[in-house]
Amino acid sequence: MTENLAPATVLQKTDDVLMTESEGVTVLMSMTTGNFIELNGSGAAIWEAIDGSQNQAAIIEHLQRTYQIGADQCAADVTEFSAQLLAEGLVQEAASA
Amino acid sequence: MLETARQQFDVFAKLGNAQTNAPLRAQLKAKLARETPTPEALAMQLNLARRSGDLAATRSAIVELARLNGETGDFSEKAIVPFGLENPTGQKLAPLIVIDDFLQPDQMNALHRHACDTEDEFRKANTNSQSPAYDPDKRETLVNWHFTEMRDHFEEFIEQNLAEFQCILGLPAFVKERMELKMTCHIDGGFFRVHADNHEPITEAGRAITWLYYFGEQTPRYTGGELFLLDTELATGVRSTVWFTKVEPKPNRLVAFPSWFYHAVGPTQVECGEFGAGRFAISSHIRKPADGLGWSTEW
Ligand SMILES: [Fe+2]
Repeated sequence: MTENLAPATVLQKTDDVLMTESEGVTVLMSMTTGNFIELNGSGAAIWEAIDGSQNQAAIIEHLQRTYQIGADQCAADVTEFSAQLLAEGLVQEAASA
Repeated sequence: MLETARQQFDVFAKLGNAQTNAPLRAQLKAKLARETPTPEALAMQLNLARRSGDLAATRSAIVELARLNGETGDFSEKAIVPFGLENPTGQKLAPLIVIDDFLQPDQMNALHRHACDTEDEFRKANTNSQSPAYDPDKRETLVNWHFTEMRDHFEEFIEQNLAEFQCILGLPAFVKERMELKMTCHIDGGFFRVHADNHEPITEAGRAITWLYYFGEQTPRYTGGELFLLDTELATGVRSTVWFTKVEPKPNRLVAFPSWFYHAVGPTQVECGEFGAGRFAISSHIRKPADGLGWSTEW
């Protein structure tokens, strides 16, 4: 799947996710690949923000405002992590309205 | 140990962590109870159980999956993983035999005493039979080729049970050419990186069945030393980095699998540092000649 998600892309969580807490870290497991993805601070915020309605641009703006981080850094974090979630089958593109 | 080996074992430890996997397995179980079970969901249940080293749950998940597929699920009790199963990324699960409480307790104790009494006969193992050099980055194992205690017992057991082992592991009835048989010990820091015991095509001469009998103190003072049996695509040698069957080296447990499947032995910790507290095994390869037998394409 694409490395650079378009700002208008809307992602939603799939049903293929199992989630647990291990030593204070949230761990996601993809039922497709079997990999574990650990959610660190920004990862957890991005995962939280992916709700099937906000597009990438809106998530970037929201996180940038909430966490007072630079626009470029925030955009890079969100698109990179979202692409990883997509590749692991943990999220998918929401059907367009 | 090289950093790459350390990282690989860290990944195995994380993916195979029973505590992390337990809530994931519970969620999946709840999902399966809510919805009509699909083969994919049952396969995932099986894959999480075996990755966590839960052999009883592995077996029952396999039986459940077989029944969903309209089969009887009537496998030998020794078959923890029957042959022919595939993971979600297309590699085969290594067929696996496990026999617990293999010897009488006093027989195992005698074997352990024999190992301790012959400590000075143990040598650092070579990486493999073709490479005479000892390489601490690949493996750290002590080996005694000349152990005597119970040797005949193991030879006879294999002689009598080879046909059943071949059947469970999905191998044709090849003739046993000879059997390599040695005693091994992993003391503190012992490990064996990912490898296969045979890289030749299945019809060529070579190792066909690898079996191990774990023994040691009744209540082990070692931790670690697990066997990781990696799902393998036999034609290409591609092995999964995510899916494997973990086997705890419980004393008095015998395990067997086809020698072509990739596997590794995780680092052993022996805090007290005593040789006798190590993770011991009788480690063996049953060799076969080149043959034109009908090898199943199932695995
Ligand atoms: Fe081996």
